[in-house]
Amino acid sequence: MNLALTTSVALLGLDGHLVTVEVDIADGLPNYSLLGLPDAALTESRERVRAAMVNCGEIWPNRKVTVSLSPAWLPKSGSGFDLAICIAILSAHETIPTERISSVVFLGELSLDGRIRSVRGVLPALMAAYKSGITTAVVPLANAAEAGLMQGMEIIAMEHLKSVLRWLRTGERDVAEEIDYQWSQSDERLDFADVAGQPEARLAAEIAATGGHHILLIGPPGAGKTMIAERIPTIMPALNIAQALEVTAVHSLAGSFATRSPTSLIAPIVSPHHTTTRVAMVGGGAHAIKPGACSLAHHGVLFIDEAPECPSGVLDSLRQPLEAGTITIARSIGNVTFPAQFLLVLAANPCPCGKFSGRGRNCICTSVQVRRYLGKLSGPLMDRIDLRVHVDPVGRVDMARVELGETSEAIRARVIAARAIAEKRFAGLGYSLNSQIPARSLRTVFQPERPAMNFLHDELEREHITARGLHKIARVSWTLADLHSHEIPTLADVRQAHSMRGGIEI
Amino acid sequence: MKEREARAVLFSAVEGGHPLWAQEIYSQGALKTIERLQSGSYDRIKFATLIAAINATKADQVCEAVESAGAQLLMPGDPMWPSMVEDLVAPPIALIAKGNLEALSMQSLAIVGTRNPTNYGARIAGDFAAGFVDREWGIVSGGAYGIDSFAHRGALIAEGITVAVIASGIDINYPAGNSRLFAEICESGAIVTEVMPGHPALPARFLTRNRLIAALSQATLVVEAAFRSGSLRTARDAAELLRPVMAIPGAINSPTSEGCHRLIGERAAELVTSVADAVEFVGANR
Repeated sequence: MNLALTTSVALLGLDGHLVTVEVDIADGLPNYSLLGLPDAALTESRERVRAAMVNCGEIWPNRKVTVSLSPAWLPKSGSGFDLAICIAILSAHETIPTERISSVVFLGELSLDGRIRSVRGVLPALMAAYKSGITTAVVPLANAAEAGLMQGMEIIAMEHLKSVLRWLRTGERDVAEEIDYQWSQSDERLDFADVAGQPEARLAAEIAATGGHHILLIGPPGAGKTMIAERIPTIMPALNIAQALEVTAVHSLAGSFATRSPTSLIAPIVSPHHTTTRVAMVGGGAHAIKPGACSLAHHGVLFIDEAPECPSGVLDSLRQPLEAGTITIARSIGNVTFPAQFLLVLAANPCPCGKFSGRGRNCICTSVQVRRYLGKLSGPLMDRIDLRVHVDPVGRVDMARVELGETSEAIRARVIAARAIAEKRFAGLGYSLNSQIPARSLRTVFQPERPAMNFLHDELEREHITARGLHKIARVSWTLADLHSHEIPTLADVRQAHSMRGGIEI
Repeated sequence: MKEREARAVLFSAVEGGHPLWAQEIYSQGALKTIERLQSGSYDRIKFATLIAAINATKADQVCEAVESAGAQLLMPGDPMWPSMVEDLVAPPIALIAKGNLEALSMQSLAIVGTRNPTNYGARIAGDFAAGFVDREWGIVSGGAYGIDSFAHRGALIAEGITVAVIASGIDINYPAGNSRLFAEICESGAIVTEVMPGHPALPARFLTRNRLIAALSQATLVVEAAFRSGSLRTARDAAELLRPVMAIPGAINSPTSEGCHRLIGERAAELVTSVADAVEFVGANR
């Protein structure tokens, strides 16, 4: 038989499609053709596969070789098909038996000496294979950790083509190193205890983590905005396994495991630089659509420092994901939807030169510049920001203080307790965070107590707040009530929420 | 040419806030000033552009421009002319106003401050405006964003009368975001300027405008001002007119209260902490 099949997976966003690699070896002039809409990296697979095969002591069929990746209409990209093509060619050439090949999915890039290199998107690819009923997969050893997250699949992690061939011919496997599949829960490096002083900003971070309220930190350089933002994931509840799988799948696709372990249960934090492009923020790309920063921050924190310096289009591109919790990217090769539920943390200087705080005498900006600077953030994006907090420079006393601040662990315990209360309250309503309470419910079932509402309506009447501001204050007051274990928000909760709105909105 | 027409011509040709021309016109009359300009009693070379502008301007055109902007030209001696502006070193040659012109001459408090207020300043500006409205005072301010807007709004919410002194032509809504506010002000109060219609708000015009805010009010209150702020100019203008100046203190680490603290520290302004304080100070000083 000069025909053989193997199976691999093509990814379009997070959706995997099973791809059948068919190889036919026919008589004729030595030739190699690859069918099925391959991109440049995939077209080059011929050279990698041939070199790897020859360097492992196998014989390259010097005949007419036709490789077809079906379904043929699906555009395919990347180097992950190398292993599947190689095995199919050898199988068609009848140098390896076919019985073990049939129900296995092969993923991996070949290096010229036959080693198997890691590829992106192993976890989403395996998820797709599992859904199609395939239970065995050969993956690169470097991807073993994320592949190991697939419950119910036999994962064969191989480092070299020779080992794969030995397994196919004899059924013998190298004893792979035991990989620790334990989910890791703690991050030793960052802790809120490191933050000196800043009681207001700490409280705001706690509220944000509890209620999922997006937050803007305003303060001069060096006040600790970044320090606080980086520590918000440490006070968020650990991800559950389903959430962690979603996060790891997105990170697998982006190939970002250098910065994040695939087995981490810690909420991710992504902090794109303010010069970032719109595509880098929301995802995109011509051949392979990759997730952007807002999807990498799924179930975690998207932190944008120096937010007013961002080109306005970039920040505005976050509006859809903020609204929908997903981002859909349309390209000629198809529509791709990535998850994007994140806590948005923006940080900003008070003015372009950064010195309009304290006595403000060193500030060289004009009043119009100061006014316009934060004004760049206004509009629909600011509608989603519930907390606006001024971070003052650390005072003399806080610097001198020897004892550390409260630890992340202690804060996280309160956050988890408060979230549990909210979840119970919202049972069956389709949302679980206070920031998601619809405006209508705030006026009916989830109204703060009477005196608190009177206070808010007085403020509204005096035009100190807008109707939108009133709703935001009410949402934050629910989070404060949960943290203080009040049944419904009291006047004190609402007043505190009101003070955390900072700045004016009219 | 009559005196009134001559004054209109000079008003259109001379940029506001010029002490020499203001004094010449007020001491000898507009007609005489034009005659002397044309006959060469002043330096012909130095004032060549001014003389050319005067020769090129017709009084009818000035009046027509003002009327087509839906406003009125006010001059000394007119029944609605706010004569207290004549206390200035450089009183306005004339004024263009629209709305309820009686508002210009009523007893009023000027509330000025930064364009970038904090919640605190915004609230105080509104509360003091409303507090003085309750005592039947008008509120004068500059129609700018920030404290100015909150003062105007506070007065309007308390159903009082407020006057905006603007630095651009009366037909230009500057800042444009306050267009609706200007319309509301005109319903009961007035908008006033010494700039011809169609002229933009140049930086220098804000400073000359500030002296009018001080002159059109009996007392001035600075709510929030940065260390270098145009509001401090208004406060000093008011002090030069020997009218009461008050400032609201803020937190010492708030950049927007630094100017107020400067005025208080230099004893240029009286520290006030409540509407009652301010009312008493303003009353006692008279």
